[in-house]
Amino acid sequence: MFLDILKGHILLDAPTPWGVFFQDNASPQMEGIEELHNNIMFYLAVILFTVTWMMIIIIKNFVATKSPIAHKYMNHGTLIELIWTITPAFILILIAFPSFKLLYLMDEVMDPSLVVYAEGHQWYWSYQYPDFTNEDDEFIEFDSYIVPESDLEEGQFRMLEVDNRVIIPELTHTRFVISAADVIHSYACPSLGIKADAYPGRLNQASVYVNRPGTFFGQCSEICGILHSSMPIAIQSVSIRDFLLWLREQMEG
Amino acid sequence: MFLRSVTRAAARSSAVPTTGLRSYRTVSGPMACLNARPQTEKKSIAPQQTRAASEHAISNPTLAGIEKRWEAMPPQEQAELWMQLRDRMKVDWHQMTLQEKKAAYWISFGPHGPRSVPPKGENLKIFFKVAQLTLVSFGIFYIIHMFAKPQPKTMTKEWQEASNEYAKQENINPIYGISSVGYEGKGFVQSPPAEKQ
Repeated sequence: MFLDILKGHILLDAPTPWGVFFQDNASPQMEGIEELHNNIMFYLAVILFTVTWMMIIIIKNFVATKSPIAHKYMNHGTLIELIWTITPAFILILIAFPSFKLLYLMDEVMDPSLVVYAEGHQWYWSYQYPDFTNEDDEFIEFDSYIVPESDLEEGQFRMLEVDNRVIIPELTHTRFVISAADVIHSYACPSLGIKADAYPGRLNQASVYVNRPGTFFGQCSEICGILHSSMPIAIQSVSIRDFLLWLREQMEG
Repeated sequence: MFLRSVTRAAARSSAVPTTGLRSYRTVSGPMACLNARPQTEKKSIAPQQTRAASEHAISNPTLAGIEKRWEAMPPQEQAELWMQLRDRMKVDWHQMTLQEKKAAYWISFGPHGPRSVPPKGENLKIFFKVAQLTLVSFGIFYIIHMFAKPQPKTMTKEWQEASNEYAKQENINPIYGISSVGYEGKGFVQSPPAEKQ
């Protein structure tokens, strides 16, 4: 039954009721995070069972009835101290190396084909596509506000829907340049494995390569004021053809 | 053997405690600081108070029924007796009397002080008090909940079923979730129908 619950509620793409695990991954970064998580969980399980076993054995054997005299002066053992110092250090090394590898891989921005500039405001996100300009040298620019509960159409997600989604093409290296206009915000989208702080006056960047079409939701992840919870992020990945059509529509519109 | 006894006796004589409690202050009197001179002028030996092993067994009446008397003894007497026992434990333990061994064990590990057995019914009393406070906290929660706003309109079965359709349309959760092939879960449905609320 527990497995059924896990199967039904974990590994999903948008947040779901009682979801306890990752959302479905949609980028190599998120795949890497999931894999690292699973590897670390393996070590965690080994540690958990070893420590639990030791605790149970101690509780079982060293009770007052079995061991009436407390060895209160026996407080040192070189061999056991070496074992319990070196083993955790070794485990930490095993965890640290894949972790650093992933960290630096994610940090690398692959020669992007598209740049999206996202700017955090109290309390909405604004976006620019500086790569494309129209005849008047204007680039695409729009604000993305939350859709309030009263305006939701039936079935839409409360606190996640926005009026203007970010549209990006699938299978394209995209660079998100992230900044803020007033206070610190954080641009996050779990399915794509990105979370980057948005600082006023500074530019941060995140590399995204979406490997399937879909809609991905995120939220501001740095407490930024009273409506921090009301500035969601909705990214829609479409085929390159649809992206170009959308682009033309925006340019002409 | 004689030499050992002499050295021990000497050590004892220089270390007679002024009170029953052990003190590691130097032997010089409390006003010594007023007469203090730099160490270089006078090479005084300031012996630390130490206690040597005692080869004289503690009398049986002193230790008899210690289990019953211990809690009522004034702390100073407790300290005195314990110091005597500690001195006795410095010799070969085979030389200690059975009474001494029992007393030393009981004072170290016996059910007194923090190890004393709780009075009968105490655990039950604690359980009931904790249960009572938990119930009170539930009550407070319920009262606060009565003043809360109603649930948002999205928390109905109808809305959430529509959410399932919407998610399929948007290709949300295509690997393990609602849009995946052969999915049989409830998707976003978690609330009762609107009329039941």
